[in-house]
Amino acid sequence: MKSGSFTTILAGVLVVAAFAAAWQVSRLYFATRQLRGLQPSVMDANNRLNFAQALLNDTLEYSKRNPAIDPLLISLNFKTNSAGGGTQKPVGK
Amino acid sequence: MTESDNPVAASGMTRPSEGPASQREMHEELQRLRSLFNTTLLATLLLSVAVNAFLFYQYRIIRAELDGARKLAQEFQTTKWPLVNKLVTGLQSFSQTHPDFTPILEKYGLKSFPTDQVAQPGQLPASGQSGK
Repeated sequence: MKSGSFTTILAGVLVVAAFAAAWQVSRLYFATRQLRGLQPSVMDANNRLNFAQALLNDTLEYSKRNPAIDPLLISLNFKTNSAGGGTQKPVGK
Repeated sequence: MTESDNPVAASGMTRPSEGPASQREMHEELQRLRSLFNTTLLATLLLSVAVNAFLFYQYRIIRAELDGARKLAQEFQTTKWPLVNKLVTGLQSFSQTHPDFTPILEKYGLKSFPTDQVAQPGQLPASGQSGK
């Protein structure tokens, strides 16, 4: 029966596709759960880096008035040792 | 024998004389049903393939985000956070000899510590707790 075998093959492929979809849903679920679990620490890291960047900006602004802080900034590579003034290196980059 | 007395005729069933025609009709009906079932299977299969493709695409996006988040968190822990701690420690030491820098530290909720005190890691307050 040609038609019967075609139906059987079609049904078999459909079952395989259904199992593949179930597997994909499960791995998507676990990956999403992992991402959600990681997001608080990523947000915290970003907040802290923004905070440190703001502190660094103020420190660099201060270094224009008082170059005594330059050795510290240069040692941490936040400012270059060039004669033409310091350049800022972002903390978060 | 009247028609009402014949239960076969009364219920609408075919009489034995109409057998071959009825079988042919049933066979055609079966073919139509089989064709309809195959069409439905094919449509469901196409839908399933589309769902699989969508799920695969979504998984790739989530996976890329997850890898990026992991990399960022690890880089923060191993590289950036120790550097920020060094900066804060250095600035706190600096403010001991340069009191005019203290307002900047206080603006961010950072206190100057005595020179003999050792800076503890993780002393930078969260951005929400700063004195901004």
